[in-house]
Amino acid sequence: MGADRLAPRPPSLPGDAGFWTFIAADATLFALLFFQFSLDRSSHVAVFGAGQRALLVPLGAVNTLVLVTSSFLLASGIRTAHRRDVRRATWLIAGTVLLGVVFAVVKITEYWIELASGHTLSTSSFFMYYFVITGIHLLHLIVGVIALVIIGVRVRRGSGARQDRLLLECGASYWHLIDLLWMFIFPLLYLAR
Amino acid sequence: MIQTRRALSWAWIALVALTLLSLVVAESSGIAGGVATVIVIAAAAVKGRVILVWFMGVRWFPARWRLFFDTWLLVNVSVIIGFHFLGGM
Amino acid sequence: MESNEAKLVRLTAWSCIVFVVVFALGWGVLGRNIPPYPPDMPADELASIYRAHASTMRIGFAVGAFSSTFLVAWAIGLFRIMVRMEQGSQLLSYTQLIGGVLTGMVPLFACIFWLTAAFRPEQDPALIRLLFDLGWLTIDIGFGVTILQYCALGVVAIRDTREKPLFPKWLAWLGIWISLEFLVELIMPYFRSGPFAWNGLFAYWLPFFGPFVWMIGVALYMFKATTRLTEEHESERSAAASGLAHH
Repeated sequence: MGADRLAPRPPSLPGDAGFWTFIAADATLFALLFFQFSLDRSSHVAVFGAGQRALLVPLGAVNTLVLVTSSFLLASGIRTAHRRDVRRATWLIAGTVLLGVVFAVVKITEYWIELASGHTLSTSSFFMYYFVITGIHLLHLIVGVIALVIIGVRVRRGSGARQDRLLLECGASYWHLIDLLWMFIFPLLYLAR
Repeated sequence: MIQTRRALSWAWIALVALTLLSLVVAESSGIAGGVATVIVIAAAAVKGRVILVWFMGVRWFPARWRLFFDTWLLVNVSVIIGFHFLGGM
Repeated sequence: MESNEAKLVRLTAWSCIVFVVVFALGWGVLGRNIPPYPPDMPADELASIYRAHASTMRIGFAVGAFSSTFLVAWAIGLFRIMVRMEQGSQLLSYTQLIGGVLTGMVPLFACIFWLTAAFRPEQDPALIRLLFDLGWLTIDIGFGVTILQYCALGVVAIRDTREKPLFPKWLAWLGIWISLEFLVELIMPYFRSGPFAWNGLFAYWLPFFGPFVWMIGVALYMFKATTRLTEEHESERSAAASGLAHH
């Protein structure tokens, strides 16, 4: 308990403070996307309902579980890195990366199936939002995967340099943001009826 | 700062449980659309808070950042649920 | 930075502010682009607007085109500050310079296309609309070089090794984010209406007004930076002079 948890110092942000401006901007962007979606839906309820019923909820659900698990592994990895267990931390980061790749593969499969069924960006307002919101999220995720690979390599080198620690914290915060965003994206698009 | 292994595990269990709950509620024909929406979106906010607190460590952030994220959660929930009922379900 | 260069760099910081004001007035107000006419407006309606307001639109777009000159000047002054932040090669400083200068070309050509429509508004409405579309697609799809500019500045500013960096990191990261948001314009051509059309929240309001506000912030920090760089230069000179005196 006491040994595991580092005592909090004065309130501070993990990683580089300026990077949180980036995270805040991203979070704001998605809040605006959720707002636009909700606004448009309120005047086209039938169209949005029909579109939603065409979605593959099981795939979305699998992705939700994949993503929360990836965040769990990464948070564990951060914890392990702080305790200087380089080998374990690297495995946990690798696990996060792997789950990130799984998410991307499932998502692309979902797109494939939707497109094969004739649903595209221009099919309806609902599908416009579906492809754009999940697409922007997917792009964020792919960037996150690449970033975690680079960070994982640095952690493995184990130099313990301050810059590497900052990078790891920034990368982790970014990944958790991707998870946080999906927590709203999934029910908004797939479940809320 | 750094969470215990137990805390992280419980956070993960909570996230999985809330996800499964949302699925059951959404797919259940016995629950009215509006009610189901409120539940799944509220669950989303709770899950968001779990991630913010237990994975991101928001409790140790400066006050204005805690305010930003809490506001963000509140705005999302209000906007989504608000427009849901405005347009009819 | 010695005081002659500092004066010029300060002028380029003013240049940045002048661009925002003049472009907003010319292209925005006189050119009737706040907000823009939607992509699904019928050609006849659009043509009648151009006929009715040709006089104001002509000067608006001409001035808007000219204002791009200030963007170019700004990029050059920013370059001179960046070379004093960047370690090693000046590659990213040059990236900002070239990205910034080319960014100036985008509103230049877009305004010329709209000016052409306002020049002869009595012509076939389909031609008016073609020029109108051309202007919007030009100004919206030319964003690649702007990404280079903002990201180069962002990276160099973040890596500034000074104890108190010349540009705050939040401003650097904000610039990087704003430039990446431009990528939404890649799907803009698919939409004649909605939030991703050229008059929508994500393809117009964010990518135009975000940069305007951010640029004012950059200009303000450029003023501060020139003062600090002048002081750095002065203290280096006096240190060197006293070093010589001891020989």
